[in-house]
Parts: sequence; C-alpha cells; structure tokens
Amino acid sequence: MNKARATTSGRLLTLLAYALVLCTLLPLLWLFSTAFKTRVDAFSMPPKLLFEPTLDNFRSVLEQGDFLANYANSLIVVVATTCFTLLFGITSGYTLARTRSKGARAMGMWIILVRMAPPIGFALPFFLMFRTLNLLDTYPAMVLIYLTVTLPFATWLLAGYFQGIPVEMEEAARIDGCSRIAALFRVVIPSAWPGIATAAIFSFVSSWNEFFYPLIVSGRDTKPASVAIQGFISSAGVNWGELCSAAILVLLPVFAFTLFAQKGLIRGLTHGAVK
Amino acid sequence: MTLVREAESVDGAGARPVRRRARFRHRSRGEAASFYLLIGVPFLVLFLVTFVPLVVALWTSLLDWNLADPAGAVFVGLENFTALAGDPAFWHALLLTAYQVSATVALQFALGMPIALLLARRFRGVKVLRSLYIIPMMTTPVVVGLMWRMLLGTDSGLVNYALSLVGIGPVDWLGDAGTAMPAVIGADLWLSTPFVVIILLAGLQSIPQEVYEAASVDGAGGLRVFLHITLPLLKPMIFLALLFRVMDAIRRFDTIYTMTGGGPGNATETLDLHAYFAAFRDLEIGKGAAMAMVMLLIIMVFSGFLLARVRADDRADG
Amino acid sequence: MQSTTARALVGLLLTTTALTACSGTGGDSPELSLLLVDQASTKELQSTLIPRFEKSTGIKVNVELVPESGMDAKLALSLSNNSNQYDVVMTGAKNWSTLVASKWIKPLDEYVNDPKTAPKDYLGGFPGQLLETIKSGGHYYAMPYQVGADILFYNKKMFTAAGLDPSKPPKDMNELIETARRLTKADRSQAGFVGRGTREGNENSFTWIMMWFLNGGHWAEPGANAKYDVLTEKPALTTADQYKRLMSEYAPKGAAGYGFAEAQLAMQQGKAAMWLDAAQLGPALEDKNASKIAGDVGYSVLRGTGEDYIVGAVWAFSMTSTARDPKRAWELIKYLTGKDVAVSQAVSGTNGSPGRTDALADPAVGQKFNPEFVKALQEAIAHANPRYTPLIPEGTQIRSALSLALSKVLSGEAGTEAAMKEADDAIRKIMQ
Repeated sequence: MNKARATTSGRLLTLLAYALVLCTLLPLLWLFSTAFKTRVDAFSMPPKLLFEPTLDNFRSVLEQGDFLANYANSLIVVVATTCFTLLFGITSGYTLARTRSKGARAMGMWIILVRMAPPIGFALPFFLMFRTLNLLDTYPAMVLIYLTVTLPFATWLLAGYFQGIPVEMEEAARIDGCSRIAALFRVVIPSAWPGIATAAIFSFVSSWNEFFYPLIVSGRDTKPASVAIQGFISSAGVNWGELCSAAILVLLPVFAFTLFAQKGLIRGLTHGAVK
Repeated sequence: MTLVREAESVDGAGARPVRRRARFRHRSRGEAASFYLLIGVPFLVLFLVTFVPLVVALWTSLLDWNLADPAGAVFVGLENFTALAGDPAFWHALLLTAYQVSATVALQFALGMPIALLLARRFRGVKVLRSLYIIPMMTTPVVVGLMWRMLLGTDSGLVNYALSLVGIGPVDWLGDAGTAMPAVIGADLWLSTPFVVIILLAGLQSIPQEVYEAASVDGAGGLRVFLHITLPLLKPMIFLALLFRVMDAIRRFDTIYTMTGGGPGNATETLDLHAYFAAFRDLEIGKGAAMAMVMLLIIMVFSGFLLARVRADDRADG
Repeated sequence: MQSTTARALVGLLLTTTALTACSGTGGDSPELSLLLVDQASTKELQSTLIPRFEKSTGIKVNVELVPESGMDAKLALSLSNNSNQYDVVMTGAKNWSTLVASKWIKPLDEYVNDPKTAPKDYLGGFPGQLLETIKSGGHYYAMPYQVGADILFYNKKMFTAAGLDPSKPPKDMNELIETARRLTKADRSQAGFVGRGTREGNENSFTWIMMWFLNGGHWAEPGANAKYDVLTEKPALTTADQYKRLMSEYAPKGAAGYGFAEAQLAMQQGKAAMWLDAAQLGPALEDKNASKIAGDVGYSVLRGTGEDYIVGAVWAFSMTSTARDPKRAWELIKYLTGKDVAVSQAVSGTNGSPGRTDALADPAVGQKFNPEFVKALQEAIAHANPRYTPLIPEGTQIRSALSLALSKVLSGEAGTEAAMKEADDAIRKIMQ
C-alpha cells in the first residue's frame, strides 16, 4: 500500500514475499518432479533433487487405456456443462439484473441458499432420481448435476455484470429498431463479455475439479479423470510416479486457464464476492 | 404492455446502489412471448436442478430405507432425526466439523491478512507473484489431497524428511489420531488461503492512497493505521470472505476423502464424510438424507446470521 | 457480428447435445459387461486374457476395474439399480449375503448341474469341499476364482540374521508375537511384522479376523437368535490386544494406514520380516523385478483351535439378475474360472491361489511355484473358512464397525476394550 521504500525493511519484505510464494508452490513443484522419477528415485531417502528424468510414468498412465477415456469423459461433460451454464446463466442473470419483482429477489436468495447447501443434499436425491430414470452413468445426468454447482454461481456473477450495464444503452438500441432479444444479444452480451468469459472459466474449472458428484453418479462409461485418479492410490497404492503424472495431466487444463485468464479470474472472484 | 424495471448497479465494495427506471415496450405479442420463453426456460432449469432435489432429499429423510434391504422404504416420520440426536457417532462428526471449520477459517485469516498486506505492496515482480500465488486455489482438490498424502508419507514423504533434518520424527501424520486432523486442515489452508488473500487484496487496493497519507500526516504509526483505518475499511470484504470460506470449509469433502478417508478411526470423519458413508457405503439412504437436512439447516442459520451482519454494516456505513 | 455469436452459441449447444445423446450406443455384436476388483490378476485379465476370450467367442466384453476399497459400495449401488449394466460381477464371500438376500445375483444351479454347460473337466477341477462352502442357502451363486487362504510369509534372511531358524517359523499367535518382537530392530528400520491397518475398504478387519479365527473366534451362523455382538468376548479382546501389539510395536511406522498393497511393498523392500495375508498376494514377493527378497521367502500356515481356523477369502464370479444374455454370461464365468486362465495366471504370477486343484497340479505351475508355497497353500485351503463376514445383509456394516474400532485402537484414539465395546454397541444397533 505504501510506496516501497528502498529501505532494508522494504527489501526484507520483498524477499519475504518471494520466499512465501516459492514455499507455497513447493508441493506442486515436488509433484511435478516426482512425475518424472522412476519408482526407485521416487522412494529414495533423502529425496533426490537431481535425477534422470523419465517419461515412463506418463507412458504407463496413458497406456492403461482407461485413463484417456476418463479424460475424454471429463472434457465432454465439462464442455457441455459450460455451454449450458452460459446459455441459462446469461438469460437468468439478465432477468435477475433487470427485475426487482419479489419473484426475482426470492430467486436471488434461493441461489445463495443452493450455493451453501451440502453436496450430499444434492448427490443423494439426484442419485435416487437418476436411478429411477435409468440415467445413472450417462452424460446428461452428469451435466445436470454439475449444473447445480455452476449455474447458480454463473447466474449470480452475470447478474452483477449486467447490472453494471446502463439500461439506456438497451433503450437506444431499441429505438434503433431492435427487439428485446436482439438488444440483449447486440448490446448487453457484448458489453458483459469479460463477465461471460469469467463465468465460462469458472464453470469449466469447477466442473473439471468436481469429485463428489461424479463419485456417486458416474460409472464405467462416464467416469471423469478426477475420480479415476483417486483409483490410482488404491490399486497402484504406492506408485507415486504414475499417480503424479496422472495428476499433472488432470491439472493441465486448469493451469492453462489460470495462467491465461488471470485478470478476469481475480476480477470475477472479487466481483462475485463483493456482490 | 409495459414493463417497469429497476436496475441496481453495484461496483466494488460498499458502493451505493444507483437506481434507474426504464420503460420497455414489446413491439408485438410474439416478441413478448419469445422473450419470456428466453428468460423463463433458464429459470425453470435452475429451479428444476436445485429445488426438486432438495424436496426429494427432504422426503427421503423421512424414510427408513436401506438400499440393500429387499423390503424397500418405509415411512417413519422424524425417526431418522431422533435417531441422529441419540447417535454419538453423529455428534462426534458434528463437533469434528465445527473444529475443522473454525480452525481452518481462523488460521486462514491469521495467515491471509499478513500475506495480503505483503502482496499489496508495490515492488518488482509483484504482479507475477500474485498470479503464482493463486495457483493452489485452482488446483483440483482430489489432486491436492493425493499430493499431501504423498508429502506427509512416513516412508518417503518430504515433510518427514524435512523434520528429520532437525531431528524430529518420523511423524505418522495421517495414521495418528492426534495429527490427522491438523494435517487435513493444513492441506485446506494450502488450497484456499489464496482465496482469502485475493479478496483482502482487492479490498486493500480499493482503499484510496490519500487516506494513508492523511494518517501519516497525523503521525500515526503502522500498527495504529492498520487497526484504525485499514481494518475498518476492509470489514465488508472480511465478512464476505468469511461467509464464503465457512460455507466451503463445511463442504470440504474431496481432500479429506483422499487423504484419510475419514480415518484413522473416525478422527477426520466430518459430517460430509459421515453422511456419505451412511448413504453410499452402508446404504442407509434415509439416514444420509436426514444428515444432509441437518447440515443444510446449520449452514442456513449460520449464513443467515452472517448475511444479516453484512446488511447491518452496509446500512450503518451507507 | 453479434448474430454470429448467437449462432456459434446455438451451434455449440447442438454439438454438445449430440455428444451427450450419443453416449452408450453399441454395435450389434453381443456384448457383456464385467465388473472387476482392481488387482494385478484382474489387470491381466483385462489386458490379455479377456481379449483372448473375445477373439475366440466374438463376444465383446466391457471391463471396469474398481479399487477393492470401493468395491462393496460399487456392487450394492450398481446392482440395486434396475438399470444395472453389469452382466457378470466379481464378488467376495463377504458380499454374497447381501447380494443373495436382495436377489441381485442369480442362482447358477441350472448351469452347474447341467453337464452340457458345466462339463466334468470344468467342474472336477474345483476341490469338492470348496464347491460346498461357496453355496448360499443350498444354491450356487458364484464360481470361485481365487481362494485367498491366509499364509504367513516371512523373510528367511532376517530370521537367520536374528538368530532364528528359518525352517521353524512361528506356529501360533503367541509364537508369532514373540518372533515379531525378536525380529524388530529398535529404530524400526526392520519391522518384525506387517499387516493391514487402514479402515478403507474395511481392510484392517481382514487381518484381525485372520487372527481372531486362529484364536477360536467365529461368526454365528445366520438364524433367528444369531448373535453378532461378540467383540467384547474373550477371543475378540485377546485378538484386539495382539493385533494392536503387532501393528503398533512391531510393524513399520505408518502401518496404521497400510492396505494390502503397502504391506506387500514393505515385504518386497525388506522393511518387514513377516506378513500374514491372503495367499494370492504371495507370488509377487518372488518377482525378481519388484522384490528385493525374491528367493528368501518362507511360507507357513499358523495353527488355531478347531478345524477351520484359516480365513478363506474367496473371490468369485457371479451373474447379475439383470444379465441380458445369461448363456453368454455363463460362458464368460466358465472361462474366467476355468483351468486355462488359472494356469496361465499362476504361471505369470498374478494369481497365486487359484480356486482349482487341477491348475495347482499342472506341471507348468509346479515348475513356476515355490514348492513350499504350494504346500502351505494346500494346507491353508484344507482349513479354510469363507464365512469371515457374517452371512447376513448387514455383514458389511458389521465389518465397518469392527474396522472403525481397530483403526481407533491403532491410532491411539481409543483403548482396546473401549473401542471394541463401542463396535459391539454399534453392531447391536445395526441388528435392531
């Protein structure tokens, strides 16, 4: 907050900040290095800092056949979830932003409540419903249950962004002869683009990271990578190299988004939190 | 057909709502219909994916239903709830959750505040540091759990190795009832302290520089400035971070499940895991649903209380 | 520009709908779905032996592997579902009670009793006593694949180094404890004993039940007055004390979190001297690529009171009630439990204790296996008792209560007596 003064204490604080971030990332760095270690190196004590990197772990993870299929499952479900989240999130967020009726307010409260509900409160009834409808272990079931996580959040986030867009802009478009829907698409959505991108990233990341719901409703055909990786620990119990390389594959898309969409993320988060 | 809409715009902490009135006329009935379809369907979806399940869960909580029992479900009214009240394992899980949540959140703020102050300073590379610092927050929680399970291992874990350098250990972090919960909390600290930091950082950055300059003219020292200026101005952010973190800490399942599976004994079997085991391992669906309802109630009461505090604060400030 | 956005959105939506809609479509060729517990032997089934079956029969087999810790729940959750997709499932003796009582698996009598579907060379390869013990309520519900009779594996070099005679391994629980004490080094760099300590998948109770059987403990036969809250009786308390002593004083640090894989690794790496566990886990100790102790492994069977003091953890294959094509499903079961698979898995070392005597007698297997192992295995199977989980639908829950208690004992959360009493109370509640 204060301008950094070229004093010793200032320099010490800067050093401390660097050290802190390095320490925070140390576990991840360790995870990454273990992925390239042989089984013997991974187990050696004291830990080996210098070792001959190997790609064997990645190879055996990918060759295990199922993991790639699980990865594909993750992608399919997450992309579908993100699309539906945007479609429904934009429209309901818009409505929420432009109405002050009791219904809309109640909906707003409801969204917050859903955000707070324990996951088991959704997983259990969804499991029972899907079981009755023969939908367990299908993509639509997965997308539907993921929507309980992403949709309320996206609606909430986008409502905030839409509120920031002056109604006058829409009115101007309508005077030019646009219908309301056209005005929504031509004026509101383009101006809220950063918000929409943030909502998309959040839907993607949070459904990619989801573990509890797929643990219950997914099966052989739809098991996502997040659940599959948990299986590594029980069967290969002690093969950390393979586990870590699988972990890296799981983390890749998430990290890509985090690094490339940094600004939007932070703004989206604080924006969401502030509302 | 006239629609009167009021929009409320919010930008940044504690901003005052700006009210505008807008008049909209739909050009034709057809246009109105398609517009309502456009906004109606999403609400219906939102409603379906959120409301219906909770009703089903509520109904299920009134049933005595073991999936493995060929007899099927029997309506028993509130029996599941009375059984919970007399079940020591449930109370154990409840207290454990209270311990886990309060310890996690308290430590997160104790750590998060200094870190936010540290990263709010301007120095070379601070932007990169901020970006790097939020990485844990995005990391897949299952991976975080597995990672810490590896780091805390007794045979080749990095943590025990580091301790051995100073002559301690090896500590069986996840196998000892006394250390398992702290270990699980530690992993959550790593995972979600960045969230607290980001929120606080946004708050710190929104405080105008002039406020500090005025304070330094008055000759106020660092600690006094922090206590009397920074902290009060950060209050709304603190409340909101608190609300989010408490809600998420209660829901924390994946890291605990992968690190300890609720063990050793039931030393880390928090409510979420306890309910999961009841419903999906012992197949006592009714009991699991009852626990979910109790959890929902607790969360609602708590966050209702916090939200009310936030609102009251807003009013006092505005 | 804007309408392009709209179009793109609609396009995306349609694609994903198409993607989600086309899940679960299959070809016209016959298909079977198979659920397996994730082990070395089942991995091999998936990678080499099932493709062979597919090739020779033209039946496509969809395989899913599930970790052992999640298997009980997986079985119950998928089979209780009327849209269950599995035709053949791997079941443990511990699962049969639940599965049979809920009619989730089918009786196999019509196939077993028909010489056309079960020829003599198939059926005759199983020990007669085994075929009797796997029956539930007088009917066949499963065909045995693995008989995990427990064996004491020990490291002969460590015995010699500690001044013990490697040809005279401990004979009962008391000797086991005494020997473990002498084999444990003060700094725990060498542990005298290793077993399963984790409560995940109720694994620790498996080790405990092995010891309990040796001490004369048994579950009651199902019946109106059957009593399952027996954990505060003397054999159970003695066993709990012995288990605690072995696992916390003489086992490697961290053993409280061990499953079978970790225990096996501790033996392979020469960190532990003795290991009491199911026979099929043994051959991996003799695998020169994975094990530092290959060639130094001793095998023995502990003695207990009575006749059936050895836990016979049978893994078997069952047919689900919803199997769409029972005839082909039976063919798959017959293949998986037949002599060819048993011999080839015994030779490759992934399945050390097939449920077939004709496989053990096969010359190829005789050449591969350590004769001491085969001898111990035969002795163990002769005393095997597959009822190591109460044969009632609540069996798994009772095991969970026991596992929780043992985990508390090991972690120091509760004393032996208190923990066992708590488990007993829990069992009473379950049985109400």
